[in-house]
Amino acid sequence: MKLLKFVKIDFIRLKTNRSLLVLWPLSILIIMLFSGKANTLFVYLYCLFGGIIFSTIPLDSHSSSGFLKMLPSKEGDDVRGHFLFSFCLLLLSMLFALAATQAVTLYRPEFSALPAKQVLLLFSLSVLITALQNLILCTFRSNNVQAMQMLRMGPAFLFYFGTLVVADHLPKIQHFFAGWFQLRNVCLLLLICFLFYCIIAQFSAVLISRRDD
Amino acid sequence: MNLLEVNHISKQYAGFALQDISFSLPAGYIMGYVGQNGAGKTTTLNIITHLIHPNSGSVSIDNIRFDQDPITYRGSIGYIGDSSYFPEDMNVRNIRSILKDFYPSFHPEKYDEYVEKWKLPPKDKIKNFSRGMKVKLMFASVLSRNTKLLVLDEATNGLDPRVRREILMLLQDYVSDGQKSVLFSTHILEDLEQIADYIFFINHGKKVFCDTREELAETYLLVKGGLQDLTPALTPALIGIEQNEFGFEALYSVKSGVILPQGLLTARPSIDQMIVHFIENE
Repeated sequence: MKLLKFVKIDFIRLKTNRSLLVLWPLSILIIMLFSGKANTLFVYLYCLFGGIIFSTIPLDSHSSSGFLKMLPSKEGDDVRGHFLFSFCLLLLSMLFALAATQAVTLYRPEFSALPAKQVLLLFSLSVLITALQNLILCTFRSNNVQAMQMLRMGPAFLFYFGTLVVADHLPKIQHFFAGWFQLRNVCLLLLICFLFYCIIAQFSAVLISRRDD
Repeated sequence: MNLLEVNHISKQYAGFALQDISFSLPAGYIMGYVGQNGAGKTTTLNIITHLIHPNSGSVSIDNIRFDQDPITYRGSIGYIGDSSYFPEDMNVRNIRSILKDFYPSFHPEKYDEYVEKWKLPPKDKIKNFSRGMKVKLMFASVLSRNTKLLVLDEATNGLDPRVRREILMLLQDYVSDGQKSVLFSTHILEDLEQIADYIFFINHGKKVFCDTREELAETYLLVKGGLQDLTPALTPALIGIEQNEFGFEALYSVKSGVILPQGLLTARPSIDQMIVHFIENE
């Protein structure tokens, strides 16, 4: 239950960027409605890209505070809570992407929905990237603003452009992994990524609890 | 009964070491924790609030150590620092919501009373608050829940005299039930003259003295005299001798066994004077 309270704190901190939170999904919807590219992959990419970026907002080193560190909780609960918040944000991004895709395909029939296994593959990748991003942001501290900005933005851009590169070569990759690229295997991959996420969360919590603030 | 027990805590940093600090603070009392800049005051307080880990030693509050029950331990401390520890992008209402979630003993109506009394704008971001407002918000957040120990780390520095006086009265009121205590680190020693029951003086990471104000007042005298009075027999009993062309001033320990010669001026030293002479002695 304490973890959920820390998740609530992260959502409170996210609300301070509420104009961005409203503009981001709206702009995705508008772009896709009027875009020349009939590919719903971009809806998922933009949404997850936003989810990965927004999940870094509460971890901004300039806004870390002793007040949160001193809240009555077990050591590491604040870190675990943040990982849970990030995961919730990714889920929300996925839900929005699904809803946006449906909305886009209503008005642009030439858009076809992304196959389920590709959606799950994207989500698995975003979970993986977010786990590593959170580990780096939780454990690495610097007063260099630019370095921290790069750390915050880097993983999201890696996800976005990395996925585009993979998408370009998808037919070859699918042919190469033909036997493997089935829905049940992708579900297994998602489960593995989720377990990895949990392990990284626990590892980060232990690492930070042993560190002085 | 000792509310706060600090047992042989040590902490090593490059260029500084907190060495074997031990003291206890009974319930219902205020301890002034004093020392020069860099003496180890904040390090000690950060160990007590468990913001940093000691290399050795232990701290217990009401017989509970952090490793035994971190939630109760943290819940029993109210910390007020020299700078605001709230996330700057939050506001008074956000803080209220978080306090309500985390502290079962939090009284929202008390919090609202303090916010209204001190005219803290509920919707403005904390980063737009003045220093005095931030300190008042910290006090509102700790006084509106049940704590056992208030830890103040130079919380009154830079505040105007009226606000400082108000805070000192709050602290005296806080310990008046005899169940709670205050550990107060400050450079404004006249504040401690008004409210402190115990004084702990730390210098270069080591304890110099720790005693009640009454005991200190009975143990030390401030002596002044001419240079001719500074005899070899007297010098060993003096602490932190300051000399100039007109004479000398020093702290004298009545427990030294050396009898003061007649003709010397004596007075009860203030905490400030005691500390200056102890520092001079080092």
